[in-house]
Amino acid sequence: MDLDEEKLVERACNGDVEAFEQLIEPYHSMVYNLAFHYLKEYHDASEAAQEAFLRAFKAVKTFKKNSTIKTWLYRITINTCLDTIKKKKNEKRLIYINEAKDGSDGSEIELQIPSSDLKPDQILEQKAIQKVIRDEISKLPKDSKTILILRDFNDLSYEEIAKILNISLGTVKSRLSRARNSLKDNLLKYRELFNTNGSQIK
Amino acid sequence: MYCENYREMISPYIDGMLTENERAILEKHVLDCDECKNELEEIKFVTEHCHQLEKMPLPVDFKEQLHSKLVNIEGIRHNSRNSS
Repeated sequence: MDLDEEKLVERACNGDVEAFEQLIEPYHSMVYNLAFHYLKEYHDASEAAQEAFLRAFKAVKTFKKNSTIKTWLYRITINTCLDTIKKKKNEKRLIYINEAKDGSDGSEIELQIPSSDLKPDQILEQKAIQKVIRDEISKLPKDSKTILILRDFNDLSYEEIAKILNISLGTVKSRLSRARNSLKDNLLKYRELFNTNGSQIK
Repeated sequence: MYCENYREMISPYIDGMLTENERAILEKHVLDCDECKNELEEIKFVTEHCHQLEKMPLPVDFKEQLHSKLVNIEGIRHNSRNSS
């Protein structure tokens, strides 16, 4: 943690909202995207990301200076998302019990792909591929999903992942290997979609 | 070594986490084994696609909403500190 961050943490500990906002601003997108991977829905991801920052603000006094803001926020966000999923599952169960139907399970998402030089049909293909990959990642078991998101979407190093999840480097390696294998196996059923894009899924 | 052992090396290979020696061993094996070669290509392909997933843009009102909630929390804390 650099000196500026240290000062901001100190001010945030004394309830300075502005200092806390400065501290977390570089991580807004990272936290939101992490939440989106777990929850797959804009509104839920936004709520969970904000909840993660609120939890961080409340707990800023417990932040250890030998840690980094990034790994600290990742850990809080993952826990917040898992809590949200648990809460949503309980709510769904209640709705089922009451035989109430709201007509939407929030599982459908419209992906927004930034404009590019791609032709319309290529954009559609890209959208479809991205949706399939996101869907399949979200179906993986919790541990596999988390490690894949941290490594392959967020580009974190094995060391950073080990710190965030509090596991050994060896476990990072084996868990990631398992996760990628599962994702690859699950994507095999979409091989036609990938083949149109010159894929190597056989 | 069995193919299963080589396959465990594929994911760290893609991430550049193998030693030079381990890398050479795997590279030599995939030259002779089509199944492991396919496995390597497929996992590499899937990993590359994951890396290419687009970042979702932050909702436009994200910062404002968060700011209100933070101010609200701090207000409650401030009041409870003063009343105790």
